[in-house]
Amino acid sequence: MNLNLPIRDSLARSASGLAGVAPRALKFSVISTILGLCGLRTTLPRLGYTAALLGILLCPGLTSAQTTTDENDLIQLSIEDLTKIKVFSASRHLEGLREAPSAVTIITADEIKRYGWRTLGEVLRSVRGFYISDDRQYTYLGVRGILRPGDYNTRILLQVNGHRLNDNIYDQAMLGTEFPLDLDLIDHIEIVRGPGSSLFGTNAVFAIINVITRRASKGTLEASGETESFLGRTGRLTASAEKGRWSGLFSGSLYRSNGPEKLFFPEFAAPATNNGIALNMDWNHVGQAFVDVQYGNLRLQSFFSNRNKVVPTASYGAIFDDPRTLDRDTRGGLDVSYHLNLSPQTDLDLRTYYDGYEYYGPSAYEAPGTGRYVQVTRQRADWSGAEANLGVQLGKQRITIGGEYEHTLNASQKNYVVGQMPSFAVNNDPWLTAVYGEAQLNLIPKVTIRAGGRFDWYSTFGGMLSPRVAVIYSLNPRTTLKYVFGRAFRAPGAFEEFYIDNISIQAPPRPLRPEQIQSNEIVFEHNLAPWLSMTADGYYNHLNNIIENVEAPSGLSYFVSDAQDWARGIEFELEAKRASGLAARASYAFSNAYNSNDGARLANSPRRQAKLNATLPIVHRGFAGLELLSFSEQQTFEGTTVPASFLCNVTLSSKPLWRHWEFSASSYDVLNHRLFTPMGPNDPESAIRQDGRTFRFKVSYRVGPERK
Amino acid sequence: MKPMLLRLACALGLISLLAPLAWTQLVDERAVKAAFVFNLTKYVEWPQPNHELIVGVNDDSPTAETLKKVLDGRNSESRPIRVLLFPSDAQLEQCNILYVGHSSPKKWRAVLERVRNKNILTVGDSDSFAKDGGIVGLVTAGDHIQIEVNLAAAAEAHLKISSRLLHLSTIVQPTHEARH
Repeated sequence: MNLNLPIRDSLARSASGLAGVAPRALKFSVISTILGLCGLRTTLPRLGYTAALLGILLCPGLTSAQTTTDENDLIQLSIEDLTKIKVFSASRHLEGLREAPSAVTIITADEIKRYGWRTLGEVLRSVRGFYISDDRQYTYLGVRGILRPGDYNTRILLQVNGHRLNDNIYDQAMLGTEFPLDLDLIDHIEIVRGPGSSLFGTNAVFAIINVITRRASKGTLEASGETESFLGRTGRLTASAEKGRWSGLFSGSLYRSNGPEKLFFPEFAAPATNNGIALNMDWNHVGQAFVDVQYGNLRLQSFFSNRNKVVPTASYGAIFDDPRTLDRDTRGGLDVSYHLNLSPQTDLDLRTYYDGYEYYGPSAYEAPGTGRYVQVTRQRADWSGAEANLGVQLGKQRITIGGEYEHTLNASQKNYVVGQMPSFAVNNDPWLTAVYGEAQLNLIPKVTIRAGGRFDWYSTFGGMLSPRVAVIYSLNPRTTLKYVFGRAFRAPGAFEEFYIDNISIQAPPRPLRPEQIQSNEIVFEHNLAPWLSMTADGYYNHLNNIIENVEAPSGLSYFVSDAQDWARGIEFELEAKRASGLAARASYAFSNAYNSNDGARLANSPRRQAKLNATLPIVHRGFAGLELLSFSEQQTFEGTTVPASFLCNVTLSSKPLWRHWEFSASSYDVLNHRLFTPMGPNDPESAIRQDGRTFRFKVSYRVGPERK
Repeated sequence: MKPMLLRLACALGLISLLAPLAWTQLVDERAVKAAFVFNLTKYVEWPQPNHELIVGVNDDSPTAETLKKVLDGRNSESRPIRVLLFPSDAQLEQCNILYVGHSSPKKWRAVLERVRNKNILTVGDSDSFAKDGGIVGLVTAGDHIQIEVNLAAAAEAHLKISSRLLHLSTIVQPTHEARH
C-alpha cells in the first residue's frame, strides 16, 4: 500500500554541518575499522573485531553534542552566496510505508545501474546479512541465517509500491528472472528488516522488501537493449507522459537466454544419462508489461509477467536431460488506490486489487512398466481484496489504523498425466480479514515509542495476533539507538493446506498451524560525518511451528508445523556517500542458526558474510562499480559441505552521453570461481555450480526531458 | 590468497574514498535551506506589515528540526520569527510562511489548496513544488540549491517578491489547469 508516509526515525539523521573532527583522526579510525572488518578470514578473527571496535570508539565526536556554528554562519551569508554553496544531500524521504522502526536499507536506481545487477536477487545479495541461492529454477533468499532448503521465500513479504507480490498458492517471493518487473523501472527499493506482521500480516517474518517504481515524466520514450553471455538478450521499451493531472508510464520487456550449452552434473555421470551432461537445458524466456496511470490522487497500476524456464536438475525424480521438464510462472495484478487528505494532519488511503497467478509445471518421468510420460502440475489462483488506512497526526504523536479483507476467489490445484484425466484436482476459496493499529508516541524528549499490533482472522485456521513494540532513542542528532520486539507469522499457503493428491502428498495428521517468529533486535546508527554513517545491529530470533514436508512410513510425505529454529547474530555496516558519486558500503554479518529440536546447525546458513560495494566516478563520464562478496561455508540438506564463496563483480557504466545514450559493461564472477549452491530435499544433487565468469553489455536510448 | 585480496581491496577502496576528504567541504543541504527561508523573509513583502513572522512547517523529516533550531527566535528586520511544527487549521491562519516538506505531489497539493488566497508564502523542497502551485521551490540540482518562483501563485497570495530574489531565481509557469 503506497501510503506516502515518510519514513522517520530510522533515517532521521539531522547531521548538523561537518563533523568537528580532524580529518586525519577520522581517516585513521575509519581505515582501522574497515581493515578490522576485513580481518574475518585471518587466523585471528578476535583481533579483527577488536580493531573494528577500536576504530569505532576512537572516532572523536561520537558522543559530544554537535556545534551549530555552521548553521549560524550560513544565516549571515547573502542569498547570492547561498546559491553558490555546494550541498550534500541527506537521505530522501521514503515513500509509502507503514514503517518498521528497525534497520532499513535503501537501494537506489543509480546503484542498480552502477553495479550491473540483473535480478532482484543479485541486488539483495549485496545487502548486509542477506544471501541468495539459485538452483536454476528460482532464486531463494536467506536472511539472518535462515534459508530452509525446499522453501519458496515465504518468510519475506515482497511488494511493488505497497502491493503484495507473494502469490496465493505458494506464498512465494519471486526474486530471480521470475520477478515480474524489469529492474530498469525501479526508482528505489526499501528493505525493512524485522517482523512486519503487526502492520502487514502474513509473510512479513524476516523482512519486507518494497520495490518503488519510477514516476512518470513528461513525454519520455526509452528503448534499451542488453546482450549477455549464453546468448542472453533483453529488449525494453518504456513510454511516459504527463498532461495536467494525468500521468502515465507504460513499459514492456522481453528476455531470452539460451543458457550454457552444456551443464555437467556428477550425480548423473553414467553413460545411460549422457555422462552427466545436460544439453541446452538452461534456457529462459520472459515477457513482462507494466502500466502505471495516475489522475490526481487516483492511481491505477497493472503488471504482468510470464516466465518459461527449462529445469536441468532432474528435480522430484524427473528424467535427466529431458527438456519437457519446465517451470512456467505467470503473474499479474491490477491495483487501484486513492489518497485523501482529510486535513493537514489526517490522511486516508484506500486500495482495491485483483491478482492472479498460474504455475504450469510439466515433468518428464519414467516408470517401470509405464515407460516415459509427462506429468503436469498446474496451480492457478486469483484473489481480490480491499484495504483502508488512516493516519492521524496529533501534535507530536501519530496514530495509524487500518483494515483489510482478501478473498482468494479460486485456488485450483491439479495434477495430471498428459493425455489422461487429472489424478488430482481441488478448488478452494479461503479468505482473510484483519485490523491493525500503531501509535507513535513522542512523550519523552529524544525517545519515540512505537507500539502496535494486528489481528488477522483466516477462514482456514482462525485468529492470529501480531504485536510489535519499538523504543527509539536519539542520543544526539547523529546517533540513534533502537530496540524492537515483535511477533510475526506466516500462514500456511494453499499449496500446503489443500494439495493432498495421495500420490506424493498425503493428508497431515494434524491441522496446519501458522508459523510464528518471536524477534528481538537492537540497532545502533551513527553519523560519523555527514557523508559517512555506520550501523550495528544484533538480533535473536525464535521460530515456531515451522511447516515442513515430512516423509511418512507409506513413502508419501505430508506437511506439518512442528519444526523450531532459533538464530542470533550481529552485523556491522559502514556507508559512505559523496555528492560526486563516490560511494561505498562495507558490511560484515555474523550469524548462528540452529534447529531447536535437535540442536543441529541449520543447513544453507553461512556463519560469516563480508561485503564491499564501491562506486567511483570516472573522468566525469561514468562510474566504475566494484562488488566483492564473501560467504563462509555452508552445510547442505544432506550433510555435505559447500565451500566458502568469494565473488567479484565489476561494472563500468556511463552517464548520459550525447544527451540520449547510456552504456554499461559488466563482468560477473570475474575470478571465475563458479560458486556452489546448496540444493534442497527434492533435488538429486546436494549442490550445483553456478556459471563462472559471464558478461553483459547494455545500451539505452532516451528521448525526453533532462533527468536530474 | 583470498583473505589477503579481500582485505587489500577493502583498504584500497576505503583509502581512495577518504583521500579527497581534506579538500572538499560539503554543507548539509538542510542547513542551507533554513538559511534560504531566512533570506526569503527579507525579500518578500506581505500585504499587511507584520509584527512577527510565523513559519509553519509541515514536514516530519530532519529538515523540520533544522528549521526550528535555526529560525525560531531569530529576528528578521526587527520581526521575531516563530516556528510552528505541524500547525493545526486554526494556526495555519496565522502563518506567514508555510514550509511544505512532503515528497508526494498529492500531499502538497492538498496543503496548497488549504492555504489558497491566504497571503501565505508557501515554500517547498521538491522538484515540482513550484510548478504545482507552490510559490517558492528550493530545489537541489546536482551540488547546489536553486530557487524556483511561481509568480502566478505569488500574485494569488498578494505577495510581492523583490527583484533581487527574482534575479537569482528560475521563474516557473504552473503546469496544470486551474482547479475548480
